[in-house]
Amino acid sequence: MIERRGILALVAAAGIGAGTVGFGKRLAEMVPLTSRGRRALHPIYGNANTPEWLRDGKTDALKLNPQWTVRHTVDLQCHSECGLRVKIDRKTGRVQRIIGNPYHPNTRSDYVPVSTPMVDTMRLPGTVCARGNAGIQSAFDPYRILVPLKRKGARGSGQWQPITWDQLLREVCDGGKIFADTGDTASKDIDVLGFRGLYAKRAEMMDTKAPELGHRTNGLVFQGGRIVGSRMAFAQRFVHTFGSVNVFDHVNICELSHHVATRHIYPGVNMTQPDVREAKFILYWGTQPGNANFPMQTQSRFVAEARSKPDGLQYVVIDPVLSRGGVVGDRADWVPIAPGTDGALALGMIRWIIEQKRYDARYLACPNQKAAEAAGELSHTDASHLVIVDAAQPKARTLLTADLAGLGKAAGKGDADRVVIDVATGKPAKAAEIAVAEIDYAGTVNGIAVKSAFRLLREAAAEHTLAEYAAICGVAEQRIVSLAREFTSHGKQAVSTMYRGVVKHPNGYYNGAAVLLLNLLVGNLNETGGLTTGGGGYGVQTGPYEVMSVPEAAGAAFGVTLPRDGVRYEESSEYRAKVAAGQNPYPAKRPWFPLGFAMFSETLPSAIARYPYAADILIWHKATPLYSVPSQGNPEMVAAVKDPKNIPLIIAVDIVVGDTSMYADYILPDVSYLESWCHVDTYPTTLTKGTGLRWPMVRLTGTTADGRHFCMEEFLIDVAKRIGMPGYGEKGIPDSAGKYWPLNRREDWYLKATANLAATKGVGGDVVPPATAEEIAIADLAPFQKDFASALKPGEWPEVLGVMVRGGRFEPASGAREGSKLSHRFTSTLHFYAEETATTRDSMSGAFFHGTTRWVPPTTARGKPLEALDDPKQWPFTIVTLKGALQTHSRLSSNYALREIMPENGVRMATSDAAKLGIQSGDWIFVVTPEGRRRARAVVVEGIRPGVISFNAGYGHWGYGASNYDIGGQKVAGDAVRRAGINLNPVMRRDPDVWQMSLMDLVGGSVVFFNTRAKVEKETVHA
Amino acid sequence: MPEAGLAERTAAAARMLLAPPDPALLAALAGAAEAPVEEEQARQDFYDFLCVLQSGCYVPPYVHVLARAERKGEYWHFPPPRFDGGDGLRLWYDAGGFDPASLAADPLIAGANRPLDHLGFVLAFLARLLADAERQPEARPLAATFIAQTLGPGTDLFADLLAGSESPYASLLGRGLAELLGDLRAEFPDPEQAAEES
Repeated sequence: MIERRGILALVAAAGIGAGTVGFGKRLAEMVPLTSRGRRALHPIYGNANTPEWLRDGKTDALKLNPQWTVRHTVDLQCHSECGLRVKIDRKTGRVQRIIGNPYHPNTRSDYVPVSTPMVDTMRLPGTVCARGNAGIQSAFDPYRILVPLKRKGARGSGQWQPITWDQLLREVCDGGKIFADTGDTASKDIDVLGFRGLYAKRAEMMDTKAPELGHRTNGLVFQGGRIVGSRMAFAQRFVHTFGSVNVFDHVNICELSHHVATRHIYPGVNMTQPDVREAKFILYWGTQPGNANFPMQTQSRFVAEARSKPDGLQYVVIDPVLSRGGVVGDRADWVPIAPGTDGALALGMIRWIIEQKRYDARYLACPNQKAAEAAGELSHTDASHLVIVDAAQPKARTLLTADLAGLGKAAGKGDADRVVIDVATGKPAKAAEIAVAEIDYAGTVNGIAVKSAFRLLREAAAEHTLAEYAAICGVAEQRIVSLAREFTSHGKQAVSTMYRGVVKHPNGYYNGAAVLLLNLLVGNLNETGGLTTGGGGYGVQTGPYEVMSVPEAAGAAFGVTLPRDGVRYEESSEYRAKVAAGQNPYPAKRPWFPLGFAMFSETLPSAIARYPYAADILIWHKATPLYSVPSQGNPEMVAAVKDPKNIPLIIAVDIVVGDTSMYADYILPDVSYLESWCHVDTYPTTLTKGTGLRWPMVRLTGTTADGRHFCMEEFLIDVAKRIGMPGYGEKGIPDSAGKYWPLNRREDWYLKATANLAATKGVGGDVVPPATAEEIAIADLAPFQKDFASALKPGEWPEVLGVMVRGGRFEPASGAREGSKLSHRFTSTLHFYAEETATTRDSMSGAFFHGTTRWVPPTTARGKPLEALDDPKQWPFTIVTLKGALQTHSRLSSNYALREIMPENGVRMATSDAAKLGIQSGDWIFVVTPEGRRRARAVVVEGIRPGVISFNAGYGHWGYGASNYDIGGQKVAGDAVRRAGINLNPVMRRDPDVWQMSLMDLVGGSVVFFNTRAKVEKETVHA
Repeated sequence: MPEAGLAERTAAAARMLLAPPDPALLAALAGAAEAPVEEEQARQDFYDFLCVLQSGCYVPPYVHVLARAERKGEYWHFPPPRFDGGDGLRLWYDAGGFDPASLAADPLIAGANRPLDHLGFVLAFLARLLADAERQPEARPLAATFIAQTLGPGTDLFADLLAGSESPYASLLGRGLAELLGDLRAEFPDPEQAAEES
């Protein structure tokens, strides 16, 4: 046994060490450090970093601290996508701090015009929320995967082998028995088609008996999670060029029915928002300031500003759960409505408003925009437009047109060809040609029974009494009346707005339409303090470069999507064959969603059920359906995903081994939001036009042999080049003169999109100036420009760098208003009656959907009332989810700074319910549903409706670093911090009649999050 | 003990903390081990004890974490490392022209945003300081100050926990570190404490 002292001496004697070469001349510079002793580095700032900016004490001028690089990008810690100012250590490339980009409208009410030099914004930092600040931990997560991984063993075995980029490309492109080396008996003999094999079938039909299904290449399916803007466009360009229509993001698990209901009323518009700062009264349905909304922190700040004015905003939160922004007290109130009954409350209000004639009759009588503007209004509706209600008419359920009314040919189509009753004559007239029309009409025109759209709503609202509505929604009749009275007491400065709490129900579309239709009764669109569709974003896809154009692939992608959205079942060969055989064509094998899009929740079960066809290659891009889709994480579904016969090749593109990507065959390392590119438009809340630019602040993933960092885009480019797809490689992107530019790296594409953004026509005050030498130095962009010089024409670089320096292009705040009007106005006809909805059939029952809203109780896809499905006496609670300020999505469990604030979520329940069950905060409980049970901590609160239990989204992971796995023989142990808390999605209710389908809103396409019944049991013996 | 030897031992400790053992290192250690140290196990132990946060036997090699270690019952509790937890050392490193990223370290340790006060970095820096101290007397107070400021009681805890582990490799490393810490403090007493005592 050697003497202890010698252990390291032995190592040193062998010449092993981390280097002992001294500091030599630099020693003198270190001497002053000895005087610091143990005191902090600065008497005031302690050991804090030095600031980004240095102030000259004599002149007060600021300049950049040369230690730092300062760049502007766009957040993705939630979907608010605020502008960020990122402080980067110039020497190490390490991100040191994230705050708000003052050029971006989300981060300051008085955000800075893009014409302002960057150095002048130093004293005007923007604000982001805690999630935004914590984002460094998403990018620098120790569980990040930085090289491609291939599974060893069976899918989901948790065994991974690092592989090279070349091996990844070779195997997934060329296919064959690529799993022979995995040791998995289930897949070793499967001959995988691969990208090349599937692409070779691009001229073959999926099913010659069903040509509407398109080509075999629809077997490529891209299921995206959090992918938006131009990054989504990049993916679409690849998938469409490949010949597939199957490229989706996550919308139907988010708020799809919100968008579809909004389109019902505001054609072509997915979202409206209040002019919060000038509104006098806002009803927040299914959301609350301070929780998830668009954008969360901005909306919250605006509410605070508006509420603090002497004659400022009052707001009411209508939600089963009282959360952070749902204050009860001065100018704020809470209505704890029963889940999923928002439509009943809204219709009760509508009924009372109509009966009391508190709607804006003068506004509603304007049948066209010209008449509205002549009357001093800023928008118009179809309240007076006539609808054919005679079921025997071939055109039943459509809006009456001039030729059917015997009025001759119309001057236009669609909303320009409507018929009304002219108040001046009492006779039918073309809506486009008169000034004032009858809004409450039922009668006959040219022998056709018609009713006005307003009349249809009035009758729908009158189908129940106020007392009945009160009983349905659990809000007292008097309260319904007081809300309606208050809403109609502020002229056009009252707004009814919503988020997903209203619509994630089987009746979500109708709920959402009812909530939004309140706005039409007061005529608030485009008005100061009213509602806005916003300024939108700038286009980036066309301009000097046609970045989406691949002429050789035009029309290559067509057919019905795998989840059957955007197309009617009645157009399918399946339907026609059943009819030809004399069979009842209903129900379809699985529902079709003609009004929906991005049907995320239906992708996996449809692929596995091979309806309407199978998937050959599934790409999950930061998608986690098994974690985030209600009911989809159940054992049967997980087993089906693990069976390679169902989907032969699954490639996950992810930043970690996630809750779903853990079941993939390959995981391709993707870039985090601090390493990626994307152009993202701003939201209506900020009233102005704007497009943020996300671009790499740091580069962390491994690299290809030619130095490109691994990510989705480089993978798609290399796959395309390897299998010979057009639109990639040297003949990549056409410019406006028809010249082709190479597409060999992602910057080739994104820089051209940015050049389009810089060049597109502005709206005043929004031209981004060329970046100055000082700005290029601040953002350290000279090396970047050098590396990618050939991606743009030399003359385009100054403005493109200007956009990069500012983190986007934004209309100035002063552009929001023109006097008392909002500058960006939506002037199409607003619809009480949605003709497209009214003429669309439910693919399960064959019944038409309703053209105007009404109270529709929630049911299964086959129409069974949920009350009958799960008896409330046996299942007394309803589960709802909550998206709080610290965690709105699945993916922030790596943010330990946030987890230190809120380490667990627990299950919230009302004090009165807890008392009945003998439960106290902190007790272990079981939440039991018809689908399973989960153990959780109880959180007993006053701010939740009795009979409702709630959990904050984003906890209770089994992947994303929460469980053990093995990479190349190295154990990686899961972290209990990420496992903490509860996720009840996997035990949410499935539809009993459709295999592995969650409860669904068949009209709006949303998956249902808020209608699972449950019981709660106190754990009596702690395990 | 001559200072050059101390510098080299410090550098050796840094090497052992920054990268998994290789055959040469294990051969050098063979004379100190009670039983043969198997290479594969030693490599796994390096990752489990020094790299992987969730291994169950991880001892965080970060000064700022060790300084806040708390004993709860039979277990030691360590707060999560903060990426900026060692930024107080930046002035030292910058003044010396010392770049931790230039060290031959395992990627799990060398990745961006890792705290600057990883004991491997600290000891590599100190080794160079000690090498200077051998040649330039004015470096001795610097080294003494650095040792006093940086190698607090938490580092002794770190060494003790490793030394007491069941892993032969981690145990050797811990024992060597404990020895080194004692020798460093003996050779370079805390200047403030020395001033108080005088």
